[in-house]
Amino acid sequence: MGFILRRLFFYLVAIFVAITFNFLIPRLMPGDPIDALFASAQGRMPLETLAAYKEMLGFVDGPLWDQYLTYLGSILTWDLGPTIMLYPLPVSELLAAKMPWTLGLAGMSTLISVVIGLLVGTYAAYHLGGFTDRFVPGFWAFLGAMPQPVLALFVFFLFALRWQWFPLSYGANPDLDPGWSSEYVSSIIHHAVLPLGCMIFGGIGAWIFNMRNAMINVLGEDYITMAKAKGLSNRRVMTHYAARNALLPVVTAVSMQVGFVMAGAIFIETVFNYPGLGLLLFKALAARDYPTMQACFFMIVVFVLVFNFVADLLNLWLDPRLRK
Amino acid sequence: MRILRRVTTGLGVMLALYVHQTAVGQPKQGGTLTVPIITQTFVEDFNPYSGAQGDLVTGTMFEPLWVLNTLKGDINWRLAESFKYSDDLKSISVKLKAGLTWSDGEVLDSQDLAFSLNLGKEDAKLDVTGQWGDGVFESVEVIDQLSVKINFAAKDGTVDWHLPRLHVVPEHIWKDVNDKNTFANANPVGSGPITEVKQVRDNQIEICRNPNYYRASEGLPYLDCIKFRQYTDNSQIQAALINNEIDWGSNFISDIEKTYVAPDPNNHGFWYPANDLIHIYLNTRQLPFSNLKFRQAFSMALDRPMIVDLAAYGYPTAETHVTGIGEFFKAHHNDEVNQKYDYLAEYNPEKAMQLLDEAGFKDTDGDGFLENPDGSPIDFEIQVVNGWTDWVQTVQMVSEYLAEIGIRATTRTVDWSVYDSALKDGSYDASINWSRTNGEDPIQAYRDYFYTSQQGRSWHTNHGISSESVDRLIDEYVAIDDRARRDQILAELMEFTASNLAFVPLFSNPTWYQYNRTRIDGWPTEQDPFVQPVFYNAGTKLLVFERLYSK
Amino acid sequence: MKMLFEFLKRFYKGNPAAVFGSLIVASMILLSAGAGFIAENEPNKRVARGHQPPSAELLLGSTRAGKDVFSQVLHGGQTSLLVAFSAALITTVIAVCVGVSAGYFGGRVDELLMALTNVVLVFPQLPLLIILAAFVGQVGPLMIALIIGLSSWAWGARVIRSQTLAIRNKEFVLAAEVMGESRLRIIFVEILPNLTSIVFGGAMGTCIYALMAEAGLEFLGLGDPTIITWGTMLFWAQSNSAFIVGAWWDIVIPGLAIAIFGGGLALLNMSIDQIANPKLRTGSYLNRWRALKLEADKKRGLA
Repeated sequence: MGFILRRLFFYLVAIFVAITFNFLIPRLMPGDPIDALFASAQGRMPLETLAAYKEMLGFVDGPLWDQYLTYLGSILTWDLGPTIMLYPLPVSELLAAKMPWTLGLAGMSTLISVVIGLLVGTYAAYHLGGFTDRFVPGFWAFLGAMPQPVLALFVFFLFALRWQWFPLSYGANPDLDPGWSSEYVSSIIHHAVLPLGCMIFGGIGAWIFNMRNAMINVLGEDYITMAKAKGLSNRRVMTHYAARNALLPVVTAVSMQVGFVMAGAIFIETVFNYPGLGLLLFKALAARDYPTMQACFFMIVVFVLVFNFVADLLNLWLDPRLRK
Repeated sequence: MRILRRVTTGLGVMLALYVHQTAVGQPKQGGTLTVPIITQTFVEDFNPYSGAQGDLVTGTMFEPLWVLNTLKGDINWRLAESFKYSDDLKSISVKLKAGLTWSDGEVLDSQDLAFSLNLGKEDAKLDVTGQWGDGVFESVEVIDQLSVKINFAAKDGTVDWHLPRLHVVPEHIWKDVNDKNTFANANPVGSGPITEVKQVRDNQIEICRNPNYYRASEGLPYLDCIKFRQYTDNSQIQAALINNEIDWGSNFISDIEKTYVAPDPNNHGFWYPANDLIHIYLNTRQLPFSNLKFRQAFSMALDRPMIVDLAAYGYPTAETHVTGIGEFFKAHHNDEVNQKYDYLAEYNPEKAMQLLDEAGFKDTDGDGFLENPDGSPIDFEIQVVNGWTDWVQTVQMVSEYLAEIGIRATTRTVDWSVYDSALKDGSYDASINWSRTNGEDPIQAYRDYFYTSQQGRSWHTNHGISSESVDRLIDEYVAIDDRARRDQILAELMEFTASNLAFVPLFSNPTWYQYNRTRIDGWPTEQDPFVQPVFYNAGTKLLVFERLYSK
Repeated sequence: MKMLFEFLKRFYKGNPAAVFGSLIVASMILLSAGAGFIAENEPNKRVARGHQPPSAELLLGSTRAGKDVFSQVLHGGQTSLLVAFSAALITTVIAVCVGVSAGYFGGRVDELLMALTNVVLVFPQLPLLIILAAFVGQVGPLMIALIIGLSSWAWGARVIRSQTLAIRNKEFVLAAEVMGESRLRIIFVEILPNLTSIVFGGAMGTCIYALMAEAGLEFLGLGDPTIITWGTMLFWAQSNSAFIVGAWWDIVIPGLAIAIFGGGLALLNMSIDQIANPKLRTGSYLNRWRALKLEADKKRGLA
């Protein structure tokens, strides 16, 4: 229990730091959001209207401290105000629309990567010195080092544009009504194949390698030898003894990775026009849309922290040593 | 509401079919146009004043009073049937057509027009024509059921250029709206051909036929609906065009002949008529730009066709005159003035170097680059916004050409806000930017370049060159109606521009326009240029849309 | 000197990953360093028409602006690799300082430093980088190196700390303390040398990460597009829709450069892991061992 409380406290502190950081950085950034809005309007907005907008969006506000307290309050009540680039759409609405897509993408890709990594890594560890073990991690070191954007662009060009096997944009077919109908769900899957593929492809080398190492370490432990000596079948040793213990470092690694995965999504989402948080963050940045940017970044941090916390809980469940 | 909508749509369809049978040789009714919009997400917002989605509804849902077709030089009357200035040019009367209705069946009359005009008076953000803010309008009077008179504060013969920008909105709906800027207008009532919102999704909005359209008796519009699709940048739109997912593009497409036209030359096409002029503005208050010969040499050092070719795939039109207005206003070109000064726009590095030498720019320290006549080094920055890649490449090429004649210049990519304030303050060394050369009349360009009261407000007035006589000429032009005298004034202004060379013209920005004939036809093309195909202009958008039909 | 040679021999023997990795890394560094000599064209000069495919004169084709891709990739390599190495250096220095201090001094210092480290650790790196990069405005490569360096030290610090803790309580350290050796000397002479492999491994990991992060930032347009690096090459290629217009070399070449160098570093990293933990080694010798074991088992009647 103490463990959980300590971790919770730590995460709260981290969130607070995130809020403060979030608040300060955009304020210190050069650039006036209104002028950037003008840029995105490509000169179609008359100059006179600009001044009026400036006033309306409150960019002549009071001292920094007041703004900070207001910001803190708004986070707690989740009233984040309107976006600038899509004025007057509220930020929370925009976030709520984009969040599930990024969660889905990040979550699914992590899940699939972990599973494949676990299987291949275990196989490699088990057949130490075999072909898989010798060449697959090494080979994938190069594939994994190929920059995400290049990979995404290549996949986009070949599979979506040229061969038209998969769609070019969107999370689902725009002609379909969003809902849980089988048509819509299969459209979601169809649209997710390429983005997911890119995300998995890039990161899986590291997973395979990590799993393999974790497995090897575990297989060398005494209790494995003991289990085998007791006469337990290989399969039982694998699942109940080896895998369970190998999962520990894996879970830790996963929680570390989440931040990365969220980030990698940015490139993928940009190329495939996938409606997630990464793309939103990037576009909000270009538009100097402070409210949206802050909220986006905050959302990503919260996810990372939540995943970390879940990993901690899993750790607790898997590792009795922590329970005392 | 939905049932009512269905019924009215059904009625509309029946009416359309009836009309179709009676109209001979007309394109068939039906079909959907798919148009890309660059945005993060769509929202339920059909307010023409909306910054986010105004483009979806201006022209299509809300028709303008009339459209000035600059390509043909005539007026296409829409809601209005005529306008007339008073003899003393202190007021204008606008007369609406008879029998106009809104999409909900209510009558569209002078009450609506007066209401819409007065919106700009109460709120600066609603003053799309800018005439209240500029102090031109004084008051609006309703004369009769169809006519409205606008009184000016002073003589002005240019108001008719600005009126088409007005959004005419239904008084019976909007008068009860508290904040007209944030009003989402979710159940819109409009005057244009497309008013019924069929669906709103994050990535798509579909709007369909107006059941009470005033031109339905003519069988218009041919198409039933417009589908707006969301994209975040040009390369996605390029891909979507190639794969026939959209019909009308208004974006920069790389290597369009190879990637878009070649795969399907019968259906895929584009037309890039010249739009506004792009210049490099020079800060003439400081060395070396304070020297006229330097500015002239700068201009002659550039191989404009090559810049156009490499930096922008050859799409823009290289500029061949230095008089301040480009291809867009070619009807107003003055051959005499052009003949005198055209040489300044020709690629002539030897002459450039000669001019520099004459003016006293020499390489005193032997580093291969010239210094100012007073000995100080020349090393200036040309500003461009980070991310506008074709302009960044343009400026890079310009620096390379300057280097060839011994001038050291660097490309400086900056943030929009830095760029914007530098242009307004006049604190740049040199900066690449647009010009107001695509409006209703060329005088707007010169006003934007030189009119003293524009300094600090516009981007283009702060190069350091202005004169009282020019101000007076511009004032005169605006207050008279005499075509001959106006042409004379223009000639004088052109002479002033060319002889002073406050900015170096590069090329005319193209109007980005791609069309896809796979499903829809009726497009304006180079062979059939019936209107400037600008999507972002309500009037031209409407004129194009009206001609489109489903194949 | 002889020790070094011995060490290298042990390192490379039977370790193909190490061999390949080192070869790749070394050759890329050499190629980039010698860019001025190897590439005959100036990287910034227009030498051909836009988007020319690879040919005899232009080994790797030309960019949209007509510049030599081969020359750009070599010169750009100088900057990119420099950024990667500098970032790795900054990160490593900070990580070592923080990790060793926390591990060695313990107590309040440890708590404080770990709290700081943990907080920095959970921040998602790339979004943080993006926001910081935009904060500074137009970021040149040096600034990117600095930002990456200042934000990526947390993981390394944690690892170093745990390793320091493990060493700290070993007898030779306790003995040195009893003998009265100064703390600084203990840290530098007793502890640090034992950390070399993880420090080195961490540095290489950061190097890979920095390379990718720099490329990513510049690809998104947050870098200075007038400076040539592998990342800005990607940026320009994408702005000119390289794939769609068929000029694959414009975008694939810098991508490959990053992939090859990153891959080489990753291989090296893997091989270092294997030195530290011989159980992780792999190679054909294992098959031989297995065959022998099978034989032995058969003889014993176990298989």
